[in-house]
Order: sequence, then structure tokens, then C-alpha cells
Amino acid sequence: MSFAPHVYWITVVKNLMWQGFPRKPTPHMLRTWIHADAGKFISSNVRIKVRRTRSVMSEEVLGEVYRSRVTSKGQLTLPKGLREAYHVHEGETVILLPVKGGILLKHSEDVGLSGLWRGLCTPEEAEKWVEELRSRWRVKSTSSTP
Amino acid sequence: MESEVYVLDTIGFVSHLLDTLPDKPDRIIERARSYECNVVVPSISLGEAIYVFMKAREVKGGLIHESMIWEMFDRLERGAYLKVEDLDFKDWKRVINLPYRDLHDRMIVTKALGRNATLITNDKEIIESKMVPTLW
Repeated sequence: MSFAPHVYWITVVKNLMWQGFPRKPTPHMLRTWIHADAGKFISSNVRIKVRRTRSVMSEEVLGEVYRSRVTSKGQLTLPKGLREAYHVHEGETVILLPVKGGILLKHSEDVGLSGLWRGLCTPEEAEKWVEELRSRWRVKSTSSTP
Repeated sequence: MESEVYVLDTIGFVSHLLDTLPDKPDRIIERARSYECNVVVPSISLGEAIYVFMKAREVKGGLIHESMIWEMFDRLERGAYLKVEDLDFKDWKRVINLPYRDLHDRMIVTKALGRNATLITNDKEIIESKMVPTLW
């Protein structure tokens, strides 16, 4: 297994920024903090909230990395931070997709947009308004100008 | 292996919201809902769709309830089949040499080029330029 330190470091920086840490940490400060146990105070008002994660990262990681233990029934807790960030609500059914890098969790409820704006306007009106907007940004001296 | 990618332009996106998309692009959207392909909406198209909504409210007044736009945001945020994407720096550099009158067309086409995607559009200038594969 390979370790993805960049993921860990970015997560640490993000958390510190989020907590209003006054200045950008230097690489030396980061190295020191990473060796501290997760959850320990590193100063009076800053705590590293991330956990160490050693895993193969084949997908782009966009935020904090979490761990969750699978129970004997195959259940696991979806951390609150992820539930809030991805609007996963209690009672909602989600789908689990096997992908190259692991298992992808997605919403399965109806999030369809088709017809959501039915009756708002006609397609012709929409085209006219878009054209009106674009005309203000038009470059007049291109070779394709009719 | 990465699945097929399509970029939905402004009129395509608005047509999807109005439920007036022609059959071909409509089938692509259906496939995206089954996770068989990816459909990307450039952020400029989301912006233009918002403009269409605001114009409709201006013209039709109170008949258009504000909740329609918040519902759209909510579904875009929770849904997985349409992904709104910004341009990156490479995309912006490509914008300079694209042969379109509209800055917005350039922004949409550069996104399609950057994602190596088929562009869902009915824009004649883009279709005739053959810069990207198109579909409507």
C-alpha cells in the first residue's frame, strides 16, 4: 500500500484555515504536526481534526478523509461532515456503484431536472434572451462574423 | 476506463429544464441518469440559465415563483447526472483562438475540447465550425 502524504497535508491545511488559523503553516510546521496524534491539541486554540489515513488514492480527494468501521451486519456510519456536504438525508435511499477506485455512493431519489421549469417560457423566448445577453459580450472582429 | 462525456450548452440545459429537448440529447441525459455516461454543464451555461429565469420573471412577474430556481440548485447539488464545471486555466488559454463571435460560445466549446466531449448544442455557428463533435 502506498501513502498519499499530499492528501493528508492538504487536509490539515484546510482544517486549520477553516478554524481561522492566523497564518499559512510552513512545511516544517506541517511535518511536526503530522507526527502529532490526531485529535491532540497542538496549541491552545488549534486542534488537528483529521485522522491518519494510509490508503491507495486513485481518485481525486476533495476534502477531509474519514474512517468508518463496518459492523458485523455490514453497516457503517457516514460521517456527519460528508452527510452535510453532500446533502444526504436520514431515510434517503442511496445507491452504491463499484468503480475503479472503490465504491461510489450517490443519491438515488428523484433529482431529475427535466420539466422543472416547464411553462417558465418558450424555447424561442429562452433563445432570444440568451442572444440578447450575449450580444453585449460579442467580439466584432473575428473571421467567422457573418 | 473513462466513460463518454457530453457537454450540455445553455440552450440544451434550458431545454432540459423546460422539457423541450429533442430525442437524441434527451436519450443522452437518460443514459447519464443511469450512469452510462457523463454530462457536464459549463458554469457559464448555468449563469445564462439563471439569466433566462430572471428575464422570465421580469416579463411574467409574479407568475414565476422564486422557488423554481432554488429547486433547480438543490437538485443540481444533490443529483449526480449533471455536473456543473468551471473552466480551468488551460481552457481559458484555448478561448483566445476559437473562431466564434460570442465569448460565451468560446467558453462552452473550450470546455468540450478540454473534456474531449461531444457538445450538445443547436448553435449553427458551432456545428458548422466542426471544432468539436456535436449532437442535437
